[in-house]
Amino acid sequence: MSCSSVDLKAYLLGELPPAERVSVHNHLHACPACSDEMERLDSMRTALASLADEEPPQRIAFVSDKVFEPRWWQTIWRSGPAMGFASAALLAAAIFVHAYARHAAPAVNTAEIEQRIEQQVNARIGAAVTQAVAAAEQRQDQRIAQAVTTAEQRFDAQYRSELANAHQMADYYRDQNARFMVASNNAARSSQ
Amino acid sequence: MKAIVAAGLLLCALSTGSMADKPRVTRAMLEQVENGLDVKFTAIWPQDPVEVVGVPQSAYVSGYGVVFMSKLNLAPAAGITPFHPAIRPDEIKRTHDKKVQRVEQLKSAMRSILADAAASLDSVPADEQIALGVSLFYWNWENHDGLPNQIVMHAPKKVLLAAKTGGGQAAISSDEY
Repeated sequence: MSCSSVDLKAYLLGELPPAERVSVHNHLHACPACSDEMERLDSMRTALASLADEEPPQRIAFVSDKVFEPRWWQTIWRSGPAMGFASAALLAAAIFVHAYARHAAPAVNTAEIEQRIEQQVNARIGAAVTQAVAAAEQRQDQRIAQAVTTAEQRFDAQYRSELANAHQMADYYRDQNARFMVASNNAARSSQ
Repeated sequence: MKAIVAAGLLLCALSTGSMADKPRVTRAMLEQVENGLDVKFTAIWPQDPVEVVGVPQSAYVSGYGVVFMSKLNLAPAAGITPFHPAIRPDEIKRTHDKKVQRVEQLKSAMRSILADAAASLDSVPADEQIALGVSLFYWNWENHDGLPNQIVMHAPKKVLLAAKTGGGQAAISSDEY
C-alpha cells in the first residue's frame, strides 16, 4: 500500500470499511511520514473538539433595522443646533458649578493674613532701615574722622607756621635790641 | 757777666717776638668801620631806608685780612602781629618787587663801602683782603624768588684803593648765596 493511496481523513473520522481500515492501520505502523501526518490531524481534531458550540445567528440584520438607527448622542453630535444647545447647557452648568464651588470654598481670615503681611513687611522695613542707618552712621563716622584728621593737620600746619613766625619775630627783636644796646653804649662811651 | 748778657739778649728776643704776635688791626679800628656801615647802608635810599638788623660784626684774620658782616632788610614791612595777623598777596608782591629792584644798587653800594673801608684801614697790608658780607633778612611769608640770601664781596686792599681812585671795580669778587 502506498502513501498516496491512504486516505487518512477518512481513517481519522472512522469512515473506512473494516478491511481498508486494517490495511491503513498497518501502513501507519510501517510509514513514519504517514504516522506523523496522522498525529497532526488527530491534534487538530482534538483542538476543534475543545471549542464550545455556538448558536449561529437566527437571521441577518438589515440596514433599515432599528439596530442601525443613531443613538441619541450621535443625533446631537450630528445636529448643529442641538450641539450648540448642548454646549450652551454645558457652559451654563459649568458656570453654576463654578459659582457654587466658589461660594462653597472655606472662608479666608483676611484679617489674619493682613496682620501677617503687615508683620512681615514691618520686619523687612525694620531690617532695611536698620541696615541703612548702620551704613549711614558708618559713612558719617568716616566723614567725621576724615574731617577731624584734616582739621588736625591744618591746625598743626598753622600752629607750626605761627610758631616759626613767632620765633622769627623774637629773633628779629632780639637783634634789634642788641643793636640799640650797642648804639646806646657807643653814645655813652663817646660822651665820656 | 756772660750770663747777664745772655739773659739780656733773651729778654730782647722775647719782647720782639711778642710784638710780632700783636694784631696789626685793632678792634677800635674795626668798630669805627662797623659803626659807619649802618650810616652808609641807610644812606643808599634816604627817603625809604633799608633796615639794619642786628649789630654789624667784623674780624681781622691774620694773613688773610678783614671781614665785615651785616644783616639788612632791603624793604622793611610790617610783620605778622596781632594787629596785622595776615599778609595780603599784594603786600608779598610789593615787598618782593622792591627787594628785587634794590639788589643791584646794594651791590654798587657795597663796592663803595669796601673801598672806603680799605682807605680807612691803614694798618692792613695792601695784599690782604677786605671782605664784606651782607645777609639779607626775609620774613617767613616773603617770596624769595630771584633774591639771594647772602652777598659776599672781597678784594685785596690795593685793588680796592685803586677802585676808589677810579679803576679796578671789575677785580672785586662778588658771590651770591
